[in-house]
Amino acid sequence: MPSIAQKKICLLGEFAVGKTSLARRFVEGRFDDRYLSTIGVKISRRVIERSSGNLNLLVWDLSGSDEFNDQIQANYLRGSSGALIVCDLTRRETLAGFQRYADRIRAVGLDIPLVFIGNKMDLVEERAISDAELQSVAETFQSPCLLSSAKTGENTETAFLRLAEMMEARG
Amino acid sequence: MFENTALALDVLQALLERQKVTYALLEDDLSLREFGPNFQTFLNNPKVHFGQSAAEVFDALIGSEQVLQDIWNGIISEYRLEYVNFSPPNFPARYISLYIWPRQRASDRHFLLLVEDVTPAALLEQRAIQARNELYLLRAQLDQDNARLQRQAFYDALTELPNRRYLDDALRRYIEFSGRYLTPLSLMMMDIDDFKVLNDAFGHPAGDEGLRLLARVISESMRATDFAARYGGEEFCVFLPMLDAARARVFADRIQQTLEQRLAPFPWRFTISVGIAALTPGAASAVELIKLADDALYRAKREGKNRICVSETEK
Repeated sequence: MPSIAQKKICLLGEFAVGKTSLARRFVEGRFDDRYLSTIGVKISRRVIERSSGNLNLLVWDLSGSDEFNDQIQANYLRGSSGALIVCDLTRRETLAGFQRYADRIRAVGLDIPLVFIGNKMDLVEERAISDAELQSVAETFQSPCLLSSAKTGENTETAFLRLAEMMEARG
Repeated sequence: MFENTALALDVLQALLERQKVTYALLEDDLSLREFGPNFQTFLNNPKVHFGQSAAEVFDALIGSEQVLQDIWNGIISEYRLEYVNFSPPNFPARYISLYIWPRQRASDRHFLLLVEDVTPAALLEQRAIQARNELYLLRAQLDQDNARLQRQAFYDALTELPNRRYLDDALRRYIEFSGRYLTPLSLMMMDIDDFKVLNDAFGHPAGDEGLRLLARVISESMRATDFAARYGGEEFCVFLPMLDAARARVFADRIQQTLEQRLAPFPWRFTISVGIAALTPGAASAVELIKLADDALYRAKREGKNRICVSETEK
């Protein structure tokens, strides 16, 4: 049996922005409305088909609450080939997470592709972060920024695949 | 080293027997060189065998070869992964922590992997974090609701300008400021001429659009220190601090001209009448100022509409 390339990617962002929901949508294709805080890390996997062959994506869904010290936080990130950094479009303060987690990745010495996600785009009435604000942060890191909804599934797959594409381009 | 090695071994034995911890020795390539007597039962996996990669047993160790190198090279002292969700699908939650240390005996080097079942602590922490996060989200929601209610109470939903309630409070403060620092303050009241005719001829959506358009023109013409509000119906009110009546008139002229330009693309038209009054020793209260501006506005209406009148006391 041919071996499948494996890549670790991390889902990062402040608590309750929808990281677990995005991972679940991508891996299991479903959505659960209940909010259950992630503690530590939950790893799930999905094989995706690429022109260069199949790729096993190991999705590290990390807790958005800083219950551990910097050293342990850094350990979670080691070995990552890419990261999705998520904010909640209905909570303005979660936008700061883009910078915070990008800095944290850099502090570990990782130079990996990043994709920024503004999640919960389905909650149009409650939206608190504008497209321009998202683009401004994304441009700072020269990374793409997508609006998504784990609930409806809109752009969820696209975000993961975009990251996979960027990882592939890096080799 | 422990002073009482025998006791330490007994403790370890008890922990192993109670499935609290288990251990394995790893080669550089992450393969299992040997493991504790309870390793397979701890993992509920009797097929685990020597030589197998630890990454096949623990997803969390996939791609960790570089980490092991970093440990040997002293870049990191140890590798700890806390609270790794180790629950098989459809089984109760189980959390483990993984610790890797370098171990050297003579020329033989390998890694010690310690695996600890931390489920009770993780669940406890999870509940605490969940409660804290839910409380935060609840408070954030409450703040948002309060802000929305506040906005509803003080702003006009159609034009998004402050409403009469907000105006009454703001006018008092503007007058206090002008009285204390002896600075000019003008009040401008404006009213859409024949608004009913516009509504009757083109429908209420046209009337609403007209109100929004006028509100936008006023807002865009204002300085940062000015204050505009929807006074009621088709009537608007603007406070102009540091402007006397003559300068306020220039401001009103500009609004009339801008409005005319902005109405050009629409199939309907309207004009506005404006009344201006300024704070004077004879009109030193909010009630008096409003009355003077209102009188000037009605004079503008009487004299044929589409015009600006300044209060008689200013002349």
